[in-house]
Amino acid sequence: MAAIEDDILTEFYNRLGKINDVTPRMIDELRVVLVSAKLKPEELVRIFAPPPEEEIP
Amino acid sequence: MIQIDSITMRDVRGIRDLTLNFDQKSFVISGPNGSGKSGVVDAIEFCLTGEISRLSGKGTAGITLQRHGPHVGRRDDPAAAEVTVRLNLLKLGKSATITRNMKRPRELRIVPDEPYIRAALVEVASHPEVVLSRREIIKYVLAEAGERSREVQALLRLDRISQVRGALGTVHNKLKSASDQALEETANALGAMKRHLDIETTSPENIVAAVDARRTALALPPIDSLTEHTALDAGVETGARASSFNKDSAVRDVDALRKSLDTSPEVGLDEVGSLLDDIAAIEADPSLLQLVQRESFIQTGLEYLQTQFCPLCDSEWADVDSLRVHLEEKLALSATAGECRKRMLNNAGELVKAVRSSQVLLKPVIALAKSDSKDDVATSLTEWSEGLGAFADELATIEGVLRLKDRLAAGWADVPRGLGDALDSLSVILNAKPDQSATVNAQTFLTRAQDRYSEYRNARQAERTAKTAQAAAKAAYDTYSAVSEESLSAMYGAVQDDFADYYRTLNSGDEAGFKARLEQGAGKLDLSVDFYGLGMFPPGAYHSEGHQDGMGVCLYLALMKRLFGDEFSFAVLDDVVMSIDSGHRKQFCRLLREVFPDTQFIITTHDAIWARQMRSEGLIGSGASVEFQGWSVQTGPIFEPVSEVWERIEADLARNDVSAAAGRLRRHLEYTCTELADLLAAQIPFRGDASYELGDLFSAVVGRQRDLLKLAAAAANSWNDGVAKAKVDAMKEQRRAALATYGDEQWVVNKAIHFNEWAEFSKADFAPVVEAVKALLEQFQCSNPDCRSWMYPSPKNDPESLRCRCGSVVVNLKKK
Repeated sequence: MAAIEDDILTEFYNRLGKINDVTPRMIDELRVVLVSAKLKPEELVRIFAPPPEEEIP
Repeated sequence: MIQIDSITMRDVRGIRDLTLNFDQKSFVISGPNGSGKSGVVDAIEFCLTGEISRLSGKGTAGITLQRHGPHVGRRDDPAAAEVTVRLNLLKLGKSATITRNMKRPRELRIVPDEPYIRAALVEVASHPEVVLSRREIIKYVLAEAGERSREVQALLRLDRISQVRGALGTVHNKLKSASDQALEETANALGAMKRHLDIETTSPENIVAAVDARRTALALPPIDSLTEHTALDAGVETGARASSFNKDSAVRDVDALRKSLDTSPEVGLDEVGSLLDDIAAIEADPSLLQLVQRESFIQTGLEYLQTQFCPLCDSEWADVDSLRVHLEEKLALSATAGECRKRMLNNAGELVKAVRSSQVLLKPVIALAKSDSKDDVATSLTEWSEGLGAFADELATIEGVLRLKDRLAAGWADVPRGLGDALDSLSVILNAKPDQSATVNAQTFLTRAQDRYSEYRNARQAERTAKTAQAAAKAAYDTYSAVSEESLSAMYGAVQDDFADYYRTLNSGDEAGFKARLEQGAGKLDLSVDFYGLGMFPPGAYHSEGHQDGMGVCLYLALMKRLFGDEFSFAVLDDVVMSIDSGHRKQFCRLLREVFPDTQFIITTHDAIWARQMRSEGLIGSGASVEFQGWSVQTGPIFEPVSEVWERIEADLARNDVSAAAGRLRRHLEYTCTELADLLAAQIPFRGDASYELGDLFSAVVGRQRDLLKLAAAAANSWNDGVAKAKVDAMKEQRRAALATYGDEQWVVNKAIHFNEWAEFSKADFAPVVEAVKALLEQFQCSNPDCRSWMYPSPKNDPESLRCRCGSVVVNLKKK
């Protein structure tokens, strides 16, 4: 049944890519975190709200 | 996935020592209740997964795999219980032999033990649902919508989708809280800036006007507009910037705090009142308190849930999903408590905002007190600020709120005694300070204005960042929710269509217009079905139990098709077809045969006729069945493999055990005559209990064979086919000779076999009987040693030919 989970994630990333509030970095990091064995909310928080220094270009 | 070649079971459940050869084909195991059929099912499940689901779950308290998995005679010796399965891993195109021992059920011995084979078998072990028992089919059909949703999600491995959605939702909530807090901090910073600038509204014009008035006093160029690079104190001498004390601003800061003390009793009165009401309700009803506390406790447990070990009590569960379901059910029980808890936390949150505002007012005044050596005032203010901080921390939990009852009742601000007088004296000191010169006033005003402007800008930046993060998290949550709902709806739509299609196939005679609806809701999966075109109803509303069982099997098959797709190659149906009546069995066979032609089904049934029908309908091939005739603790299932019966009778006679040989021969004749009566479509007087006497069966079979050979002879004559005629003549001669020999021994046959009077016979008396019966039965068989199948008319009811499975025998029955 991994197929439907994979299909959902693929379409999810595809649609996220068209949303202004979501950056390519966030999508790249989500690709890693969302397939890890244990979902850690703090990892997801870091993706959407990174520490300030990470925001410096 | 897999298909099974053979299984060898030793001392597992009701089995002592048994090998069955499935040859990767569908196979039926029949026998009366308690004959050991389910022992085979348990052995298959155990070898593939390391578990026996019958020994776990509801109603199995005190039952363990290691203790109750072995045969009862080996219950203290789990190492004696072992199952070996030879199987084919279809995707890999490889065969393997796997062995699992009850002493170490997690260990799997594999030959050959290659990593890719082991990985494939780990995948196989994660699919216990390939074994379906009757008690399980009903859970898909009659379960509550929430329970069905969980069962189906677990079966289809959709729980990960819920987990991802839940995690994204949690993150969104956290970032929304952070964004709300950032907004509050911006408002506080803005208030501090306005107070210093002494303006009512914070338009850029007002800020520029206030700043330029001081800049003009210092002969500094005015600020035309506010940008991100604007420095309000640009041009102020470096030395002057060292001091940011501005008398007017300081007085306003102290005044603001003083006023807040006066108004603090009025702040949050509604929230405090509501909190006190809830606290009183909880104190009046200890069960509500328990529910509220448990709700919070369980909520915490759910947040920390990662493994099958409960984060609250460290108990081990079968798996993390079962534990999650358990905690969620407990949460649902406390809905009223949940509302109470939510209301209390919302009110507490409003009070926290008031606390943070007070702390913002305190901060500059503490600095002023310290700089003016009013240590007692500074200490008092600092302690109050810290006390407010601790108060706010307590407000974060229900337990904390309950502990604050007295403080809430007495006034949450808990202003230190004498603080108003202390602030008044600080004001006096400040006002008594000599007025700053216009230059110093302007310099310190600008320096402090820049500080507060920077703090405000930083707060706004943090707020923007928090809002952006929250917007991104919301977009991720909303998008994942939408995508997963679309995908799941489409998937459930496909399952619904397959389910209805299978059920229509099964009930084509009476429910050809059957429809079904499988609808996904929040945490539930509703199933409604058509009832003879009269509307859509829950499956248990009007349909009979037999029809519900049929629905259960059909829904299971639809789900398995969805789960495995083209790789649905193996399933065990443990007595799940028992309540399908005789009128629908043919369609059931057709459903499995035509829709799942590449799936190996291992089917158990206590109904021998049903087992025979599976063979005659082509679902089960020749030799792919076994009929257990009984069971004993010592032997396990009692059955006689057809291929070995003559050797065993010979062995009985060699031991001079005539009674054993006679009993064995009788059972074999009963079995064989029943098979032949079915295959040849022999005519027997109908019996409602389907319990036919051997004599009736025997006569009918012999008579039917005679009639078929007569038809064959007439056909050969009409076609003037000499070769066919000779073949039929040979068959008739063989039959005549066999019957003659059999007739010579009839007196013994009747007594020893039909009437069980064997005790008086010797080996010499009985051996010729065995040979006579063997010869008689052989002339019903194909003589090809690789075939040896029974000859049968085809088609059965209006035969055109008499044939065997290998095609060596094809005798025309149709006249010219």
